Amino acid sequence: MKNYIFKLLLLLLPLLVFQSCMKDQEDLFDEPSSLRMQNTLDKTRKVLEGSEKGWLIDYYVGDNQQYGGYAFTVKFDSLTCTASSELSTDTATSYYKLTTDDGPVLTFDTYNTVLHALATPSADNYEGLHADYEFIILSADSNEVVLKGKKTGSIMKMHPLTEMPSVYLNSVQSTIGNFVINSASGTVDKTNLAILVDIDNRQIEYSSSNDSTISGSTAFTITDKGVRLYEPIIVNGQKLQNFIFDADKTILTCTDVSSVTFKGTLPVGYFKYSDYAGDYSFTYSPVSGEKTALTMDVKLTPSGDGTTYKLDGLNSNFSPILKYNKSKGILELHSQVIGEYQGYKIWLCAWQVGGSLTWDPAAGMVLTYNQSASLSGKLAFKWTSNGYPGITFNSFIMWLIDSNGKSAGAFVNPAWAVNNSNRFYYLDSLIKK
Amino acid sequence: MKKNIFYSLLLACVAMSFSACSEDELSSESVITSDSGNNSTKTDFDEWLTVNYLQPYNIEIKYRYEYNETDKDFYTVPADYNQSVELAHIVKYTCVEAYNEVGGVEFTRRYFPKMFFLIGEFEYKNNGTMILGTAESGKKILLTGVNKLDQYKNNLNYLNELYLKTIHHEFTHILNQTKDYSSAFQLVTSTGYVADSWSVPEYASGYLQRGFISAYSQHSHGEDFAEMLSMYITNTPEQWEAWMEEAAGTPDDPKTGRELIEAKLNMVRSYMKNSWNIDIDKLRTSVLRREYDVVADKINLSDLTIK
Repeated sequence: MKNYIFKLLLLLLPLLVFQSCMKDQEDLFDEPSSLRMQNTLDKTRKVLEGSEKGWLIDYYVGDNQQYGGYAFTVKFDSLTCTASSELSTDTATSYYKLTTDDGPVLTFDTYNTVLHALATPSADNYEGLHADYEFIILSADSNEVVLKGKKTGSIMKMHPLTEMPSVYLNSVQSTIGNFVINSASGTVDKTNLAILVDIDNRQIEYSSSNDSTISGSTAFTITDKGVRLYEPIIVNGQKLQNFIFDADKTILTCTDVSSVTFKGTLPVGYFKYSDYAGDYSFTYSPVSGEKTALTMDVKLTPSGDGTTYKLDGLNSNFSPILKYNKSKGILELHSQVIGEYQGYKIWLCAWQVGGSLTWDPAAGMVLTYNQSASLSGKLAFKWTSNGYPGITFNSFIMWLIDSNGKSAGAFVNPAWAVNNSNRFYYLDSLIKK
Repeated sequence: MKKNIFYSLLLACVAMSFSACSEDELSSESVITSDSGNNSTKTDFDEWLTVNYLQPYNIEIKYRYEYNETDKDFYTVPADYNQSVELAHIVKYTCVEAYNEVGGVEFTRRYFPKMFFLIGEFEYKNNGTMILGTAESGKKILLTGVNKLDQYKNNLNYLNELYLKTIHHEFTHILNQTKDYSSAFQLVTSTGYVADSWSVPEYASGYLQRGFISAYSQHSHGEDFAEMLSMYITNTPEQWEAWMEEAAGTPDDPKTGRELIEAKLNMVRSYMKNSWNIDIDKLRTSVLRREYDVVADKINLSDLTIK
């Protein structure tokens, strides 16, 4: 019996012995992996240093790009890189390195106030914004470098700049200043598309009323002319990713597919500068206590600078200036000098009746859109305090300030009065005629 | 006989199986490549570090961010180049050269930690505390918060608390691992060690009266020893005496803290003297003098010329 087992074992032996040494393993690559890695790094280095004016990065922040994309620029030298971004006026130089800890990797490995700004943690924000500064290099050629953030996994593309970084970033700033849109809609071939825009977090949501397969959301970066999406909207195989924004008409035009435009709407309560010109009824109280509100005719006249209006019709001696806030589309009336009297400056001061007044030019009231009162087709606005810390303004008062900036008391003078008063109590409304 | 044939066959088979496949040659090419080995990417600071740390002491200072050296539990950022340069000068002047002065250069060369890794921010935790530095098996020391150095370098307390005390503390561990201290040390306050509970409110105050120089001393006798030495040499005699008075309690309510701490201090003192021939009072004088020089801007911290 024992012998039998032994023979069986011996029969099995050839199976073990004959299996080795099949010389048919061919190398998949001509070169060893180390050499290929080094070649990739050398090539990438050449590409990075090759862009004379540097590179533009669509820099996406957050684990799911939830904080949106931002325009960053980096110029590479052999040892150092110089970065700037839309978020800061600084330009900062630091070191960078190409390394191999996770495939070919580009790492910004000494601190750069521009590049590491969003990654920097603090006691209050102990994880920072989960922003990347180490990138796996997915591909690199002189037209495009595709990076993948090691922390977030977000894809960030770099494109060579054709103008100086500061010039490009200035253009981005002007797009940001003009980029006011709440939603947009249009058609691609026969597919309807509706887009909702979240400007603060730089996200869009899109859907189609006649193609339920099209629905999603993605982040975007603001460019010199409009926006670029993190992931394209795909309609019938056509990719929509780059858009030019026409601020005057609130129109987004896609540059990837011909004749695709989206007509935008402004946020509720947002009005363009030119919308404000005209005659108004102004309601307030000239006297305290009795709450004797009255309504008088006034006029908003453009000052000619495109950013302010004069409030005419109060008194021929003065017309307060209202500033147009472009990002909110509203008019603001702040504490301001309206004239001079015997060496003193006459200030129209924002005032909380029974509380404080101040000649700080940041203090004041704003005109907010009153949707329910506007139903009759007239534009109606309510006066509200402008959010100045600690004081809720409801009125204005004329006050004298001396040449040292010290208070010289209330200004009471019939020549400067409106409705026999140098005070405007309880500003209520401004309704267009 | 039959059996013998089987056995010889078996042997032959085994012999055959050992003979196969020896044609692969080892490539002379290293599989590890990176720019860091490339001389053209060396900075002035790299050259300075080679001459001032690597050649004399075999110490490596890594100031450029390396993912593999970091603690993945924390979000942090790289160290600033200029402030890394300053910190390297400060560590050399106030730590390395203080040990040279008191213990001799051979002592520093042999035992001082061999690798420092610098990162820009402190390692913040979500409970409001933060990590200033850590040491791994007495070899690598992580120094955090380098980008805050300019903010704190002219304040002796901050400089010690945030950066330098950590180095002395970790160095003490290395010495202890090399030559153990007397087991009598752990018996002095043997019932007071509370491990990780040291930071809970119950133990965060009153530790002096219980015989511990810092809250962290209560962790274990090993940490206690390192805290004793590092606190002693980075604080003035006046500060130490003030702590001792506090440890003694009040005449109405006397405490044994002072006796306990001083008993332990004597053991630390004799350990350093007998094992390493280092007088801790001389060490304190040297460390403090050097730290004052740094705080008073008497030392050029950014000079990278190689002498």
